[in-house]
Amino acid sequence: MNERIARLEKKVREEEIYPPVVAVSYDDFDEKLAEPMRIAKRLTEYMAAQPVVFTDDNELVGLMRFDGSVEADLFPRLGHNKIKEAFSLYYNKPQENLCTMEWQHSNQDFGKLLRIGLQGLREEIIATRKLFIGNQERLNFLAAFEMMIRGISRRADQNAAACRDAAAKCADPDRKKTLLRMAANCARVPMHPASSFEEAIQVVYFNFQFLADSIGRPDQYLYPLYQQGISDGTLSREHAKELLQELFIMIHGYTRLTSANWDRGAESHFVIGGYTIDHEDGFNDLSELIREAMLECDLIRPQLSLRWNKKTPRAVLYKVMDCERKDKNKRFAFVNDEPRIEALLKISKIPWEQAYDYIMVGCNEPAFQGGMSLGGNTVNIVRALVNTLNQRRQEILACSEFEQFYAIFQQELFRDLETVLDYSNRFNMLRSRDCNVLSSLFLEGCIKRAQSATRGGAARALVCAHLMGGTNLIDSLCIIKQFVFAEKRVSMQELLTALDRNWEGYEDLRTAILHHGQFFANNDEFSNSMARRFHSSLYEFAQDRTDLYGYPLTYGNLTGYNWHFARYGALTQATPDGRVAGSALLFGSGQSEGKDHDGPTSQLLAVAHMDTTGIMCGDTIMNLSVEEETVQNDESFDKLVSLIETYFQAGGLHIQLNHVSREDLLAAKLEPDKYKSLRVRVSGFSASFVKLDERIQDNVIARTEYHL
Amino acid sequence: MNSQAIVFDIQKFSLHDGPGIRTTVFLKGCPLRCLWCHNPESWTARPELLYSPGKCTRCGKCAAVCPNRAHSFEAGRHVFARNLCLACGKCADVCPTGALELCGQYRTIEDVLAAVLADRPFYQNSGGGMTLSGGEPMAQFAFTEALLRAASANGIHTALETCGVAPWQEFQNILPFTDLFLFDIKSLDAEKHLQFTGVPLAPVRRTLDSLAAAGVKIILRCPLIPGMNDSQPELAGIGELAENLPAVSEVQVEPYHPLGQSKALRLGLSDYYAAPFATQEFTLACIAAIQRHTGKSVRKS
Repeated sequence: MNERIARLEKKVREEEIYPPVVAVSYDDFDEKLAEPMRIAKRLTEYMAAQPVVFTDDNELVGLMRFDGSVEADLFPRLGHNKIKEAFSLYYNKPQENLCTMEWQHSNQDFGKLLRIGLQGLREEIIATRKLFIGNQERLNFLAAFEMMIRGISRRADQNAAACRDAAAKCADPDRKKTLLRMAANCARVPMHPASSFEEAIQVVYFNFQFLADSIGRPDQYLYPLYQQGISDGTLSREHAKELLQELFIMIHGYTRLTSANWDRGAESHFVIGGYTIDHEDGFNDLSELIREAMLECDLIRPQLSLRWNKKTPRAVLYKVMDCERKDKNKRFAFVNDEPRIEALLKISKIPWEQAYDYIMVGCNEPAFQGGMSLGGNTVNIVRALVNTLNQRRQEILACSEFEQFYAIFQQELFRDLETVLDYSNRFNMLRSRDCNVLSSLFLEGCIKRAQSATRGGAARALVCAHLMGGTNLIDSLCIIKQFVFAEKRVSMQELLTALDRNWEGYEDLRTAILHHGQFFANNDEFSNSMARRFHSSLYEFAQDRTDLYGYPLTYGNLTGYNWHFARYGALTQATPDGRVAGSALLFGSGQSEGKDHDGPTSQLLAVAHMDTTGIMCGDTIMNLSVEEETVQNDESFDKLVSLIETYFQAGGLHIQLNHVSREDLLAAKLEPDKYKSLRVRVSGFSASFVKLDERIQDNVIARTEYHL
Repeated sequence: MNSQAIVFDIQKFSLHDGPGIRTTVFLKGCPLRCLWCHNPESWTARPELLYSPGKCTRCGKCAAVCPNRAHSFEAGRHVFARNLCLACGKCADVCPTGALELCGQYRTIEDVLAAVLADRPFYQNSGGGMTLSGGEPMAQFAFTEALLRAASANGIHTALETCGVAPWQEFQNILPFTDLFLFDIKSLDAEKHLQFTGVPLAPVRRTLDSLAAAGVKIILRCPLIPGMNDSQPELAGIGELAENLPAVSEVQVEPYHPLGQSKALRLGLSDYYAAPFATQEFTLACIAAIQRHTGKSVRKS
């Protein structure tokens, strides 16, 4: 890392890069304007009033703060009054011990903006106007978009002017040249298509403010200009790296270190590698440079996933895993294109031309550039089983075969999934009362539909619910089949009584279950087929349904920053897998605190084969803990790369590694002050261990750690 | 053919018993009694009960199911009479805390082979395979031979960890199915060898020389026990041995850790030897001492 970048990194840590916010008072007359026009007008005025601030070390310019004074100003959340209302009802507030709403993500299509510029978006708006003649509401929305384009363009001009002024006052001839170049870049982009790598990075840097989330697939959309610059000699690899680092530092700084969310990394997750439209592996020189640039910066944001596929060379997987093992900030994870793209084609019915270009955002949600990731509801999937055991008691007592039992369970499952969908729709209905203009401009479909993204304007959306307790459920179904129906060790009535009494007086039964139960993640056909069966039921439910906007459903199993798996568990009675009443549910795939006793190879194969339908291709995660020594020793590390490669070849969707020693975690729990910088991957994102809720800490500690 | 053997563990994703990702099958029963043994539960070729008093909650369930009254409770204290234990496992089955565990299970070739074959995709990507260890796998020769033959027939790379104490004829029989020998050398001092392991050095050396002459691939595996087998002549001897046998590709040292101690306690072995931990400095010094006498690789396994 060069000195300029080192200084910028220091400044972002010391919070010296933030422009002050200038409050604006808006004209009361605005209230008479149509909703989108009012918002656009006020946003334009707000943006124009903000100071242009950059330091002597910046080569990129555009950092700006919004204060939420304009309703529904921008995503992710500022100024959206109705979503605040929806959040007050549902966020972090489990409904019926069944579901809650979590955050949703949306992402700009930077590639498109680089190709056509705001100018191109304006042409789209003009063309669309003709389709809505007579529909004043939609025409107003399009007019608001045009106003936004003028406002953004004016903001870019202000940036250019500020750079020119600084250049005029600058005594250092080198810096003066740089400032003039910055001015020239700002004068050209984002209005016009980017013509150089530097302009392209300027676009991402500047535009990030208008929808601050994932930067998508930078190694793909920046690559043509990168190649061009390298081949015509106008760009050096070193300079490209510096620009990337400056961008990453800004992204890191977007969430201030003094904010309550300082330690979150999930809101800037992007991808490298993955298939190109021609079915080739897209990992290129720029992906490599991004990898290097990230590793040199001691930052916690952004975070990235490598998109692996059958054409990914082993050397690429090795290199990114090498980053992963060297990165104390735990920013790297791995996803598999093969099952995901297959599911996007089959379940989400998205054509290859779009599916190949998926990205990972947030904790671990699949999404598209210029698209939204909806759903976000966390679900207690164990409830359906509890309802089966309690509310359908007479019927299940009459079952003579497991098939009959499962049929009743499936009815309960479908009933719960229907309720979850209903809550999700209610949430999105509330959200739709906000009208978003600025961020919607960069979401594909909003122009063509002349509609706010909050009202179904976005054309590219994926919907996904996070299932908590999936492993408890599969294990419980296994035990019922094995103990009650196959081996007849216990009658259904006895099992039900044992659960009602939270195992009291039935300790021996619980011991027998723990000793002899055929639990999931040990790669035996009995439990593997139960997992497949459960996931097939999810598929069967989701197959013909969509959410209120018509987006197809998928499922996953991560937990967000909130500890719903513990909350749901606290209100959930004892379950047949030996779980006692009140203890936390399990999230993720197959980690069951010791019931997965056959080692990581069995666990990974079981997880890779757990779902043949693709319905779990939402935000499914797989956490693997390995001993520090395995990653430190080169020979063992090489074997670890083989382990992951084999898991992906077998069809595994996602993996992230934790290689901290158990002693580290226990010590950190006792003396948090000494371990403030200890980061672990939790659920598709990495987090500061000592800031985690104690129940999440215990879960991380309890995850099977494979001793070698 | 004996189609069953007593196995005390099948470890998957085994990283230190040969190349690549391996499944290591641990067979119970060993002719040696090394004072420092890491796996004292592997000594006898029969199931044994492991008892961890610290985990016992004195619930009394073991006493209620024991057919031979090996468990009793006197003044609230759990008394385990190991001499009465039949190792039937009934108590371990009902023990709610894991204080009682049965070590060693009779398993068939088919059963073990299925566990090994399940991880075939991992072997293919990493150049791994199956390793037989113990105990001493050659002590259950019929099973070992059959398992090696079956794995080999399935295209699985096979390795055998051995102390070398078995009839040469038996080694000869498995040569076609064994891709790699992990040959344990505990000490090259004949007197110490007998004293520390309970068997003379000569038969060990004879097997090693014969294997080397047969041209098989050999890795020497040497435990490093502070104060016992770490004299300069012994370490030099290891280096020279590796250097003089063309079949030996490298030397892997295994620094002592007192893991066996807690296991010995759980087995009721009171006079178990405990050496100090092998420190990093100690290990590096030993590696250097061996390395001075051979051009072949010397490293930690």
